[in-house]
Order: sequence, then structure tokens, then C-alpha cells
Amino acid sequence: MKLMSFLLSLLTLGGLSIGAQAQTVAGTHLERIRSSGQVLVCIWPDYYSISYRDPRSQQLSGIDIDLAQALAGDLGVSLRFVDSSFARLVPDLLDERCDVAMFAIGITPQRQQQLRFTQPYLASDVMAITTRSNRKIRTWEDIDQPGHVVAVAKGTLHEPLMRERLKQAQLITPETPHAREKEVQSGRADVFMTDFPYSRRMLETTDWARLVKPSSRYHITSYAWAVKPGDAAWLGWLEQFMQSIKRDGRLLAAARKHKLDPIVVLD
Amino acid sequence: MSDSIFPTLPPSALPSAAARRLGRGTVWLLVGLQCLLLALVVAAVWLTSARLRQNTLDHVSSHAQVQVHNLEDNLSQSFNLLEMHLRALETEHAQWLHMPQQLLPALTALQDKLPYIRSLSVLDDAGRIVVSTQAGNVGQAPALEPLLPVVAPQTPGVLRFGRSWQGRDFADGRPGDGLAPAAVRTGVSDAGFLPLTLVLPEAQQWTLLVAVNNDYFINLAINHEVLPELEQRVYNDRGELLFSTVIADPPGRLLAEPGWLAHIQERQVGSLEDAAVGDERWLAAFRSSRSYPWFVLAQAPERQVLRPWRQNTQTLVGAAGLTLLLVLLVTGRLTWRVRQALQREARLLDENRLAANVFTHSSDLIVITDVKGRIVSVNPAFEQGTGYSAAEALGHRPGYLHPSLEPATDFLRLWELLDAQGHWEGEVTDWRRDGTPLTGWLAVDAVRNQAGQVVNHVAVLRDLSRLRADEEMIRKLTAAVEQSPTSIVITSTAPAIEYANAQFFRSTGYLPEEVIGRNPKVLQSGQTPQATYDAMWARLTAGQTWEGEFINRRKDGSVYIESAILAPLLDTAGRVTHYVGVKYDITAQKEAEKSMRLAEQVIAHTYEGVMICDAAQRIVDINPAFARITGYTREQVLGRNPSMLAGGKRNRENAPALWQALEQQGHWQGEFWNRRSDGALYAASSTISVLRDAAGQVTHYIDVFSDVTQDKHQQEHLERLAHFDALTGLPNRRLLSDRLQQSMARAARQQQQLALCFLDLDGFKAVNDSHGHEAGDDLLVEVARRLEQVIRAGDTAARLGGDEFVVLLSNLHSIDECQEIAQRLLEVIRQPVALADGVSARVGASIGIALYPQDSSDPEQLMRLADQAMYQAKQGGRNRYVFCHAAPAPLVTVPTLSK
Repeated sequence: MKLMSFLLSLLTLGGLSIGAQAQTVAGTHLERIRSSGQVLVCIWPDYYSISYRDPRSQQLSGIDIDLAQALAGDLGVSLRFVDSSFARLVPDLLDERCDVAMFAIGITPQRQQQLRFTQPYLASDVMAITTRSNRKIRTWEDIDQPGHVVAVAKGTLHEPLMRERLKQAQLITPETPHAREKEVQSGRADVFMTDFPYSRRMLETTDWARLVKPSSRYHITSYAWAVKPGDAAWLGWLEQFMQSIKRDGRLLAAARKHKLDPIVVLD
Repeated sequence: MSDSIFPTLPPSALPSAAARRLGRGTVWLLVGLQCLLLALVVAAVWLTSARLRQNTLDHVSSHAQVQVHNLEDNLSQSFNLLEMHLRALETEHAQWLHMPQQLLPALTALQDKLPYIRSLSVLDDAGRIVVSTQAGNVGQAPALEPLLPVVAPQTPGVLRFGRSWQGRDFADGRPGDGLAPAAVRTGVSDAGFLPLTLVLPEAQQWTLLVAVNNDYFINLAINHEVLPELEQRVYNDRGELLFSTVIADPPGRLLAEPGWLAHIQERQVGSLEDAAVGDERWLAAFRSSRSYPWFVLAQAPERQVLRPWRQNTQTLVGAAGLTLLLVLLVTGRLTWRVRQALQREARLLDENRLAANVFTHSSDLIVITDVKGRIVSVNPAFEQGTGYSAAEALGHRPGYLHPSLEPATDFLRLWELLDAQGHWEGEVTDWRRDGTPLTGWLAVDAVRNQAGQVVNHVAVLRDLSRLRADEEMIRKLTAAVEQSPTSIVITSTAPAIEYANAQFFRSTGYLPEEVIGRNPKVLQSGQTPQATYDAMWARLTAGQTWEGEFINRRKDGSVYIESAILAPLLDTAGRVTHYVGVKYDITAQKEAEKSMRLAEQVIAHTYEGVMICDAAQRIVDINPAFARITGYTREQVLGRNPSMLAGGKRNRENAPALWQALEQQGHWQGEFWNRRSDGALYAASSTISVLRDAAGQVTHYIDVFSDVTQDKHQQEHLERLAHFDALTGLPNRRLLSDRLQQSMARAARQQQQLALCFLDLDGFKAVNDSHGHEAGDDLLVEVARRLEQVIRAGDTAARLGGDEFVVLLSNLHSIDECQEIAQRLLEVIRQPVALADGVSARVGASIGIALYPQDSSDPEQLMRLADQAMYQAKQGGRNRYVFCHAAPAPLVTVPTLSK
């Protein structure tokens, strides 16, 4: 299995040029996918339990990895993952480096202006992570206080949200998700903002992280898959696929497998 | 079981005492085991608890050592890594030595590498920050001293540690002063940061300043901490707190116990034994850094550490206690049951022994049979009572032991009832071996085994013969006392009447409830002399019998006399328990005695003679008048027959009438002619009465008589005047008539003849005329005397009047005899009669004779015939006798001597 994955990732690296060629040939995504026999799916490999590449084994895992495989199966084509991120999401889709972005993309007004979304399949509120020994942040209300520093990763949906919401605390925006964790670890920031899946990763993979949940609903963000605008057939097919996995239980099964059932959206 | 229900064991073999000892021993053994169990459990719990406590302490102690080791190691390595990176700056970026601003990208890169670095700055020789990854720090001159280790300023290559600061960085921070900030007290605090300096050898004018995030290491310290109570602190070598896992600990506070600091600095690594802060005992482990001037101290309050142990111990004690309680209850219950069982067994043994004793020594006859009624065991009383030995009785059925006699009781019916009801009792009669009947009360019971099946029968026969005899005797005695004609009273020694028989109540008139329980004084009339009572008590109290008389009073007030015999009743010990009185009413007797004395007086003073004879007609008593009348003394007559008094044969004529009257009427009245002791006759007018006893037997004759001699003489004279001719003394016509009738009656009975001779004197008129009437009377008297001389005894000569006489001849054997008498009559009359004055006269007689029965059977007729025959004799010439014409006999003529 590991060998297979390794070969697959080699193929992915090698297939970038092929995808670029295919873009010019196919009129619609579906035709291109069927003619090439391969679907290209953008993922963010740091997205724990969504589309996460284990650094130790380089294996991909997560709900969207499972769902992308189901999608390729329904299409009857092979699957290729394309590494992306929230910062590169829009250009990757618009430049058709992939047919669909499947890594729990929060539906925000800014993104909706550029992209098209399927129906949501996950929905998460904002979560805060601090250190276990942090003596200043005990509850959600402790966050927006004078002298406190809040970190959000640049380009994430939290950046505009927190910029808008924070009144007294200072906001810093490190370049990467990893950098915002360092800020908190070193004490330069008190918390960083993230969503449910990423908070799960922090709690499960680090010793120091402590979750601070909003005491009431703070800001729910729906997650869906995104495609390039202008291909209704492709989006329609994706919507149908989404409905079918909601109905036949594949979505719920995948959510349970990755402990995301608390935030799964089935209707 | 089949041999004997009650095996007779020798006393030494009876296991009762041994069983008790065994039972007690077992119970004590069980109790002892329980106590041992209790002690074991307590000891086990205590040991386990102590061991758990020690384990907990050991565990926490070792855990604390591991924790301080880990933290120290982490810190030392982190600082070591930091120092290496800082030293690397000198070689990799040599150009910055003169332009420190160029170092900023390298510092930023280093900061990103090491997550525990909050900021990196460069100080100039004036102590002012010239470059910093945190822009706000630039221009600050933080007060870093005192730094450890203590070296000369700007000594290169020594990583020096300042005091912990509070705040995010030097820009807004301040050194920790050991005082808790206000934020700590409100729960919001900052672990602060630790400033480190390093002077590089090649650039000694600059000082690198690192702000290390304390929180990073606190996270490491509390990471996976299983003991929340374990407090981990990092102190510098001066004992100032750098940071702590305890929120409330303000950086800069000094280690409270100076002794600890010296100990830790001396030992470097180890634990604190018997560490105490105030009253609280602490577990503490410490470890000094090998390279840097600080150490890690981890401590936990023993009380807190031991809380789980305490809870566990409580749970353990609870569970053990419950288990123990349960076990004790169960074993206690078992012990109790064992004890009960042993007591039951001991009781059973006792009962068995008792039953065996009863069986052996019972006076009742006990027979044990098997279920079919065959004797399996008998007791000695049975052998004695029936005469059968046990060996003879075994195997037989009760009631059928005697070889020949049929059972007197229906034993078959008995067994049927017994089988039906399991119990039977009643009176039965069986035969002894000698054939005598044995009557007794039999009770038969079925003996069942634990399964409820009848295995034996036990028959107990109580011999009632003796009891019956005793009952009969008691009944007899009771009846004798109760029905005694004498009053019987039993009193207590008080004395109070406890019992009195029916006669007592009859004679006193009291009711039982009126005298029972009361003093016998109620009977006293007051007329009994006090001396009598005194004498009575004197004898009774001396235990002797007293006999005497009381004059007592009945309930109705009447006084009576009673004779009493009083005696004390003694118990077996000879003590007087009661008095018994036997009394009878002698009032009537007293009265009788009185009247008897009166009667004696009356008799003694009676003028009439009284003679009392017994039934054998022997004189037993006379009175003084008797002696006066008869002339006999008392001594002369007692024991004699009264006939001694008789005066003549005339008394004998009275005898038949007398006895008849006595026999029929009980008395006779009449007269006797008796003779006095001097020989004189006297007439006694007697009244003889008969005394008879209740049976009608004659006991006495009483003769009361008076001397009526004078009366008798007078009476005889009068009687002569009536029946006899006053002149001649011959029977007159009236008496003749009586005698004629009597003679005819007798002759008729005796087939005899009699002759009636009518005699008339011839020549009397002349005599009377010539010599006077007196001479005539004298002649008549002489003729009468001569007639009486001629006639035989039994014949009668009577004077009818004048010169007419009649001679009645009875008992004639022949006519000749009659003729001969008639002839002689003629001869004697014809003889001369001497008259007064010397004159004599001669007369003759004419005799007419009529015979009975030849002539007539009628007296009157016979007289007439004789009279007629006399006239014929007169006419025939006088001086002759003529038979009446009816008579066949020839007429006899007597020659006349003188005419």
C-alpha cells in the first residue's frame, strides 16, 4: 500500500505538465476527464483529517482523500492529487491545474466572487488554540483583551474575520499555518485561530496545544468543494455526486472515519 | 434399635460431660478462628495499606525525580542548543560585529528555529538594545543585573541568566520582584520570560540578549503530568524562583527554606527526606543543572499525594470490613448453629440417659415393641409386675403372653385404634404369669423416626391394683367418718374447725359454711364447767386423749349434752397437726336414766307387790311390797320360779287361760290363791304383763299384784248365797241346773250315762209339826250331810227347797250302779236323826229316777220325768225309788223300816 502511494505521488509530480497540456485540449472538465481518464483534485496536504500528508509516511489521509477516491470511482477514471493551499486556491483552479478543489474550502463572499462551490458538506465554527500553560487565556472571552496577541494564518478565511471582529487584542498574521503555531509556542502570541479539523490536529499531534471554544456560536463557516466558474455540467455532476454520497452514507462514513461527524452536513 | 431403645450404658460411658466439653471446645475453636480471621484481615489491611502508602510515596518520589530530571535535561539541552546557535552567529556572520543591524535576519531565522525563544536582541556596551527581533525592544535598557554566574562584566563565552521578567518582552516587561502581581490574584497572569546574555569572544563590545519563553518550559513540565499536585519550580542558584508550574508563584520569590538551598547545592541531585514546611510534610526531588546556575525542584504535599491512597485505603477497609462482617456473620451463624446442634445433641444425650433411667427405674410397666407390635424391650418393673422375664417376653405381642388364658382386653381393637391415631390410652386387664389379673391404665404411643414413619411403640402400664385398694380404703374410711352416727370434728391446732361430718351438722343444726374455719367455741353454751376445758387442754397439749362431756348449744339455741373423745392427730414426726373429736349426743340417754330412776322409785314405793321375771320365768326383781305380802325376802325368791308362791291346785286351773291371754293380748288379769312363807293362803289379784323386745321376743314378765284375801272371802259368801242352799250348804236349784247341763254335755262327749234322782222326804211334815221348824232345819241339814256321804266324787247333791233334794249321778256304768246308790240313799235317810234336846226322829224318802240318755236329752224334761217318777214312788208306798216309766228297769222297792 505504501509502495502504491509512493508510486502515485511520483506520478503526481510527473503529471503536472500533462495536466497543463490537457487544459488546452478539452472543452469542458468532464470531457477532458473522460478523454484523459484522470481527474485532478487539488488538496492542501497540511489539512489534518481533511487532506493530510503524513510527514513520516508521506501517505495521504482525510475525508476528502476518501471522497476524491469515491468521486474518481464514480467517474470511472483514475485520480491524481494536486498540492495546493488556501493561498494558492484561486489561481490553481482558475488556471485549471486541477478540476476540483477538495479540501474543505470555507465558503466566503470573497471566494464566491471568483469560484463556484458545491453544496456544503461540513460546517465549522472558529476555534482558538493556546498553550496548556497559558495563564491569560482561559475562556473565549479572555481572547479579545488589551495586551493579548491573536495570530491567524495569512490567506485563511479567519484573517478577514478576525480583523473585523477583534476590538482590543492585537492581530498578527504569520505567513504560514506553521508560523502562527510558533508565535503561540514562543509566547509572542497568545492564541491562534483555526477551524475544527485543524484544532483536532493540534490537540492530537502536539503536547502543548489547548483548545478554547467559543462559548456561543461565533462564526459558522460552511465547507464545500470549489470549481472554476463556467462549467455548469461539471458543477452539476459534482452536486449530484455530493447528494448521492449524502444519501448513500458514504459521506457520513468518511466523516466518522476521520472523527468529523460533529461538523458533517448531511442535508 | 431393634435390641433396645434405651441401651443401659455404664455411667462412665455416658458421653454427656465429654460432649459438653467437646461442644464448648468446638465453639471456642470457631470463635477463636473468627478472632484469628479478624486479626488476619485487620493485619492484612493494615499491612496492605501501609505498603500502598509506601508505594504511593515511593512512586511519587520517583516520579518527581523523573520529572526534575526531564525538566532539567530539557532546559539544559535547550539552553545548550541556544548557546550553540548564538556562538554560531559569530562565525557565520562575522560582518555584523561592526554593524549589528545586519544581524537581524539571522536573529529572526534563529528565533523561528527555536520555539522557546521569544525574542533576540543585541545590547551595546551601555546596556541599551540596539537590535531586536521584537521591534519594540530597540532602545530599551533593561535592568538585567544581577546575572548568574557572577563573572567580570563582558566576560566572553559565558551564558548568564538573569531574573525572570513579567510581560511579553522588555518593552512592556519588568523584572520579577517575588511579589505576586495583581493579575495573579485575579487568576490572569503571565509566566513571563527569562533573560539570558552571552558575550561572544570576537565581539566583546556587544552582548546578545535572549528572552526565553518560560511558558514553553512550563508546558514541558506539566506535559503528561500525572500528578497535578506535583509542583515543579526552577530556581537560580541564589534561590530566586525563575518560573513555576504553580500559577500563584511570582517569579523572583526566594526559596522559602534556606536549609533546602544549601542541601540542594551540596547534593546537586536527590530528594529531600522529611521535608516539612510548617505543619505540612512534603515530598521533594531536586536536580541541579550540570552546566548552568539553576536547579529544578519538584515537590508535592504528602497529604495530597496520599489522598488517592487514603481513598483506596478507605475503600479497602470498607470492602474488607464488609467482607469480614459478612464472613463473621456467616461463621457466627455457623458457630451458633454448631452450638445449637451440640446443645441439642447434649440435650438428646441427657434425655436419652433420663429416658433410660426412667425406663429402668420406673415403677410403671414399660414395654417397647417394634412396628408390628412384637416386644423388643421391657423394663424391670414389667418383669416384677407380670412375672415374665425379659427373655420370655421378647418377640411376643403384649396381652398374649399367657399361654392358656385368653386376653381380657380386646388388644386387637387397641392396635387398630393405635395405628389409626398414633396414641391410645385406657384401662386394660392382662394376666400375670401366675394367672392373676393385672389391671392398670395403659398408654401406648407410636415412636416415629425423622421420616415420620412409625418404628416403635411404647406402652406404659400403671398398675392400678394397689391404687384401687387404697382408693377403696380411703372411700371406706371417708364414708365411715362421713356417715358415722357420732359427730366427728377435725380441727387445726389453732383450733379452727377444718372438717365435720354430717352427723355433726345434724346434731348441731349448723351449716358447713357457718362453722368451717371457726373456733369450736361457737358450740359452747357456757354451762360446761371451765374445769372441764382446762382438763381437756391439759391432756390434749400433752398429746393425750381426753374423754368427757360438754353441755353445748345448738344453732337454734337448744342445749344438749354430748359425750366427747378428743385426741391429737400426729404426723410422722410426732408433731400435733390436728385434733379429732368424736362426740355423740347423750341428752336422750340422760333423760332415760332420769326416768328409769323415777320408775325404780315408783316401783319401790308402790303398795302393790311387783315381781319381774325373765323370759325363762325366773324371778329377777321384786319390790318391798312383794316381801310384805308374801313374806319372802328378796334373796329367797330371786332366781326362783313364781310357782313357789302357789297355794293350791286351783291356780293350775287358771294356767291355760293365763298363757293364752298373755300370748294373745300381752297381759292377763286374774287372781291366784297363794301361800305365804308362813303357810297362810292369801288371794292375790294379779295383772301380768309381757315385755317384748323389738323382735317381739319376750324378755320379761311383770306381775303386779295385791292381797285380796279379805275381798275374796266376802265374794265367796255372796256366791254361796247365790248357788248354794243357805241351810244345808248343798247346791241350790240354780247351781244344779248348771251342773246338770255340764254333766249332760260331758256325758254326751264321753258316751256315758247319768241319772237324775228326785228325792222327797217322807214324814218330814210331821217332824216339823211336832218338833218345830228348828228341828226340821236340823233334820234337813243332817239329811244333806248324809247325801254328800253317799254320793261319789263328781256327783252332786242339791236341795231344791223344802224337803225336796236332787242327786245327780254322773258317769254311770250300769243301772245297777244307779239302783245301788239309790238303795243306799234310802237306807241312810231312813236312819234316825238326833235332834236337839235329845230327841230323835226318823224320816224316809221317795225317789224318782230319770236316766240320760235313755229318758231324755233335755235337762228340763229330765227333771220333769224324775219329778213324775218320785210321785209314782209316793203313790207306790213311799220309801222307795221309782224309775221313770220310760225306763225298762224293774221297780225296786226298799223295805220301810218305820212308818
